[in-house]
Amino acid sequence: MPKKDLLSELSQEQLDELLTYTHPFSQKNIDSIKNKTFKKIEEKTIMKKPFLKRSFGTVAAVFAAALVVATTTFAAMHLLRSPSEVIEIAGGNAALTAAFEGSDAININQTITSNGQAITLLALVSGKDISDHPIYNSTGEILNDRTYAILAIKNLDGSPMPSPMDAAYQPLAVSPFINGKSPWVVNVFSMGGGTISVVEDGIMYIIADFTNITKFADRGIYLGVNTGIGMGNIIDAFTLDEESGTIVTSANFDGSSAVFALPVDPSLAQPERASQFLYELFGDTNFDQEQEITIEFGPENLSLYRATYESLNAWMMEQVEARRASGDYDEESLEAFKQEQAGFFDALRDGYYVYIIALDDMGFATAIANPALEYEISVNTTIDGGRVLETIIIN
Amino acid sequence: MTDEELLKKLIKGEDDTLSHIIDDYSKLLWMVVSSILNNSATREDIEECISDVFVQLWKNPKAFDPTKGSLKNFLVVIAKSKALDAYRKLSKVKIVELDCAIKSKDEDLLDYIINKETSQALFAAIKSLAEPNREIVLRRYFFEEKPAYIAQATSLPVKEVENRLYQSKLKLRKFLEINGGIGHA
Repeated sequence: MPKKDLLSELSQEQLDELLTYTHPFSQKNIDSIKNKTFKKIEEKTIMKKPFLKRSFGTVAAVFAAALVVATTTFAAMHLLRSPSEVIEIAGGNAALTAAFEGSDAININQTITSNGQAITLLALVSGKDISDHPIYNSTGEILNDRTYAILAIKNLDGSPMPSPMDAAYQPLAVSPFINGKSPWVVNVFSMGGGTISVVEDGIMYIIADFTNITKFADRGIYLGVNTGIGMGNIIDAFTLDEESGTIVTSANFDGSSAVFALPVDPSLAQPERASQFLYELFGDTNFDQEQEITIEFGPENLSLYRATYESLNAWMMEQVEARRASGDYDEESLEAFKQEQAGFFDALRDGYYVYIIALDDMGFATAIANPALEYEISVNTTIDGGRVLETIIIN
Repeated sequence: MTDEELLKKLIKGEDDTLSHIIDDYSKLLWMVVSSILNNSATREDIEECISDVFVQLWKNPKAFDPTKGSLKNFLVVIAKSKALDAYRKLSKVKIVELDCAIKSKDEDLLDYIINKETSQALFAAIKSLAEPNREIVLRRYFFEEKPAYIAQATSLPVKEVENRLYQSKLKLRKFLEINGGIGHA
């Protein structure tokens, strides 16, 4: 179900009221936005001149294609654009075009059909400084070592893909995956990825980018495409095959999904850098173990250690009573909380582990797991800086 | 001036037209971008993101088709896309929804309410809630903030935010039923 846009329908008064929850907004901001906008337009106008000269070959190719359209419209509608053309349609990027036309690019042109759509991975290229538009991390550092992939998605029944302004538009996520790593651990989010989507001639083209994945080439790397851009969509769409370590699509996913095995030369792998990268993301936490997040604790819980079922339960009830005493909670909320705790304890058994996970910017969370049984995944805990602080063994 | 007239002027390259559009839509786009960037962005980041939206409109005005929707909706869609792009640039590791484990009946209820109601009716219903539930629900519905962010903004535990959200959704549904809003499913 497409998510309804609530903001666009609001009156000016309602918008003003909501603005109290954002950064303060005033005429100064409008003036600043104007200045920035017109400055960028001026810069882009100047930058375009040399770019147009270099793209003569592309212009000629587009002209030739236009002649074909005049006589064979149906065929032309279904021809896929080249990576260079896709980049041009998406606004142009001279460095990226050069990279896709260079010797390091891998032309794949593999198509997988799913849910009435043909998903084609056109090409892939990795390297440093291969885009005119650098990606920054939260500290302002440029992430210049990237992998770019270009994909095309079209409807098998010939109907055009909705454009981003259509209500029926459904965005797709493009995730890099690593052999042996669960999709909820290594994915578009943890690999700092993103996409640009455009629709041309009824075909959706996606330019996806993320951290350079060639460093993982000796492990086996994949590219997953799925309907929806939430973490839940990725978890629903893909599964780690425990025996082979491969990433496969889940049969019951409600949407399109595809996994491409990427033919990247294993000799390009950088095992030490790959390990360091994963360590920086996840620390010592073994995220290959699947965990189920069920409840949150407070920092005071850090004193709990090798608790028994009864002592942990007693502690939880103390939390309920403390909340009741604070007067900040209504009875309905407390009852809902207690019911959740009951569910939590129903799930616990002797020998189970309760992980107390510190989330650097989001407080604490817990997960329960039983190392003796098959784990189940329901949620990703790879928050920025998340790490296991304490483990409580129920016995 | 209609959207069609604005489009024609934009295609001609009239700077004044873009300036008027910036005047008219910056407030709405401020809301949209803020709702996605949450507290990961500064005022400067929000302005940069919104200016990118207007640059894109200027650069390719023909991408806007007035027969398919309003300029307002077109700009909102671009703003969401730009804000998501900015968000991932601002966050080295994207924060993942902790509440996805408990999506289900309450998320269905949220979708049901949102798709049955106009924004204005929903907004009015939310105003009937007491604080801090009102702020929590506004942030969740209109800003699409994650419970963890709401918890930070309201200095409440995440679990309490989730509980208050769930209880508020039930109250909203009752309110809308009593006041002539949604009917029974």
